[in-house]
Amino acid sequence: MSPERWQQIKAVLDAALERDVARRATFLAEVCQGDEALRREIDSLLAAERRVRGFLEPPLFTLLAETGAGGETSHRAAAAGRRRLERRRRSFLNDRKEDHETMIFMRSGSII
Amino acid sequence: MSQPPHDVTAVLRDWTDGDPEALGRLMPLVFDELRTIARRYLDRESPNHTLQPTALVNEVYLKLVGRRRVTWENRAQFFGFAAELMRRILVDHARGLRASKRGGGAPRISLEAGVDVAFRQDVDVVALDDALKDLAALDPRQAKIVELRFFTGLTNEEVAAALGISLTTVKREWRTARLWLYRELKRR
Repeated sequence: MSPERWQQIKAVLDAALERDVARRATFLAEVCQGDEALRREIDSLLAAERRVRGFLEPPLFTLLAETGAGGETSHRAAAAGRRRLERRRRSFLNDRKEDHETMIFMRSGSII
Repeated sequence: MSQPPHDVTAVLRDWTDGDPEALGRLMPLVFDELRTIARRYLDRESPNHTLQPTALVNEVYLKLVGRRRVTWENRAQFFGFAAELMRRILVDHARGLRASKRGGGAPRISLEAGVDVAFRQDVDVVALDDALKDLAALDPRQAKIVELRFFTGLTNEEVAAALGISLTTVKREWRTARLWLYRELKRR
């Protein structure tokens, strides 16, 4: 796809999104007349519309107590940090039960 | 008040002017600051150590640049920088996790500052990064909007101010960029 083509697709997509779902087909039939590829592009992008809710919500950062002053790691501090992290992770998941299945939790591991 | 070890505003200016090495000079400063902030939060023993990226970046900004010199222009530059930095950190982190799962023994680039990341949806950051590169080739401004919103958690209003464009433009561009990216990620 070229940048120019994307600008064209974007303009039609925008105009379609501004319209009620019921009126889109007529609008697109008219605008995409003679350009079947354009119509297919728009249709496939519009198909995502109902599923993007919540997509690209910014991640949350959680902070760990695994680093001591000056960068040395104490095993006790690390264990306490992990317990705290686990509690936080659970409460985070409880808050968002619906996201439980899709939740990705990334650990940075121990830090020296 | 003691001066930061480097003149952060000057480095930011270099970065905005397109000096590719500016990012490298600023990165260690920001890492140090993240570590300090992490430690401070944990010392407070507060039950909730979860931070929005915006809050984290704001704290780092205030610590490095200071309140006295806070102008929006400055902040906008910093947020632009932070978005790029966060993107790099998260992508490196995800790649490291992926490599260690495969047992490849690749060096793990952890966040190193005692910072963990929790995604609210199942987002493949590496695939998103690739898709964003493709989007940047088609429409650099749209990619920038996504970067600012996703990686630093800016609101539409803040993105508009940071890029000097209207709120309506941000909303429109975000809406179509999101559809495009969603479709791209499903395809990959």
